[in-house]
Amino acid sequence: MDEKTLAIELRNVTKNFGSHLAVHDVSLKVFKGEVFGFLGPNGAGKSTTIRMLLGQLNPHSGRIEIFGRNAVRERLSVHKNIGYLSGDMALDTQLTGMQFLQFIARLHGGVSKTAITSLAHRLDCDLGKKIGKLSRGNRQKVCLVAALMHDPDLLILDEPTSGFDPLIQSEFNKIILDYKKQGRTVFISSHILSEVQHLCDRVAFIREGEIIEVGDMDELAETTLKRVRLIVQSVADVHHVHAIAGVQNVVVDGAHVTFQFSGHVRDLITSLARLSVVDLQIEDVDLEELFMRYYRGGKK
Amino acid sequence: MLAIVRKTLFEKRFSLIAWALGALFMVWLTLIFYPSFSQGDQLDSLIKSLPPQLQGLVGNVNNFKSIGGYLDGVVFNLRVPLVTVTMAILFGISLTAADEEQGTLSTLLAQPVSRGRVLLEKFMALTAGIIIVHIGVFFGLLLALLNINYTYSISLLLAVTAGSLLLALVFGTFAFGLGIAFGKQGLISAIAAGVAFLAFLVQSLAPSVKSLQGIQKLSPFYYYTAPSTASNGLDWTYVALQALIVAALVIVGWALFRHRDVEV
Repeated sequence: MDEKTLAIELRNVTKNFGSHLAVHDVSLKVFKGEVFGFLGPNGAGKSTTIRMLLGQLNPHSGRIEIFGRNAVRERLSVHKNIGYLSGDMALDTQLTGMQFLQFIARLHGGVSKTAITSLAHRLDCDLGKKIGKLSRGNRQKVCLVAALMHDPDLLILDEPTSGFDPLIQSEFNKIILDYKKQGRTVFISSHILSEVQHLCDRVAFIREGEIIEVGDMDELAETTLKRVRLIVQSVADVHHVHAIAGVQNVVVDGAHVTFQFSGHVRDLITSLARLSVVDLQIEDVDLEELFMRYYRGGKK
Repeated sequence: MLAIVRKTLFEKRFSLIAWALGALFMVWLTLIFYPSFSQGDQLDSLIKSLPPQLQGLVGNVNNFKSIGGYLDGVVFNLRVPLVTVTMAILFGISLTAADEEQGTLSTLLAQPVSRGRVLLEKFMALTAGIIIVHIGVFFGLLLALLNINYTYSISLLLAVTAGSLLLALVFGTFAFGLGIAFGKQGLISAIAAGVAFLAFLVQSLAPSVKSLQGIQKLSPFYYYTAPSTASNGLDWTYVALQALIVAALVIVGWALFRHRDVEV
């Protein structure tokens, strides 16, 4: 993908609150038409980064562009094309869902009532009740309608699914995938990988304000940890397993060998072909395990 | 058009109506005692028995015997500002610092709306809220005069109400400006209330405490009290000065708000 297709670009962005360095020298590129996951534990700097994207916080250094426009100085024109949803969005509790959405629609210069009602219907969202009387999940639905109703080209979602029940979670996933099919861009943050792993094309891991890994989701799944079980004919071959690059945590039980492998599977198969393997099973270790490894400060 | 003003006033409608009715009742209750107040001598001797410093707080009792003097010295001297200035400060803070602490300002700024527009529309809502409460004040005056069978110049009643409105707007905008510029609800509330109280104290004690006379003109209450508006009408120089203070507070608030980080 070339530079012309950039939806979001952060260049060496740093933000500190007093002596606390919230985001340090973050550089990221998100391309048009992709679903980009922004992952990290609570307090890692995800929301701070998103709030800088929205122009609510000013970076101390670096540059942020959305669709080629400066996100801080050209905030108004940038926001016309953004739908934003956060897991802890504060709403005017005295308004009904419909009154709130009509207010947001006016700020966008008008949105058809049909667009609002059809989205509300899709999400099974009650717009007649005062927001203050809605459950957290139902408030989230109102926020999701507000983020989508003006048909934006970029969705910025900060821990969006907290409070959703499984049915709405599934509808939410469909909406995101529809957006992707239409060639639009989604930037989604989460501290739970499994929530977004089936949606994302690429992900970035952030920890303590620094990006520690950016990668293609499929590639990550392909090249990261596998759990391997094999049976060898000759017990002597067990010792050779230890010598294969990428092999770790080897457990031997007679002719049965279990280990974890990180790297390309084709390299593993090539190495194992030299041994007297009679049975072989390779399965993905849940990506969550990888995620936890990053959390604990492992790989950079 | 004016979506933020309309939404704000709709949301605050019950609170504003309650303040307006409260102001109406308070003005009515104070003014209906005017006939017994103006005809008795007991108050004269009571006030004369007070130390000179406290007499300054009460004012010249002889002035209270005319309706204009009673309105200036009793109704509008302490009671009306106590209600309207308190309301204006609370409203100014609720539109800015409280909104920011609740996170609704952040939600608003995530929409395609400039910070300048947010500030301007919120200031318009503040002004509208203060006007609504003063409609209550004005009708309180009319109702009480009707009850005690007195008549008074409508233009002077409007003038004294407008004078109070301006004073409330000065303090409301002070709280609003601090709130939009810094967004710390607790601190801003304390500063705004403290400044209003000090300003009132300076103006009240200045007639009898010489050292305060030098700083009396720093108090917005001076420009509110000095013209005796219910008797003489508005002093347009003072009106212009208060309008300038309001404009300056809005501009300073905007200058500090336009590039700052928004909390929550």
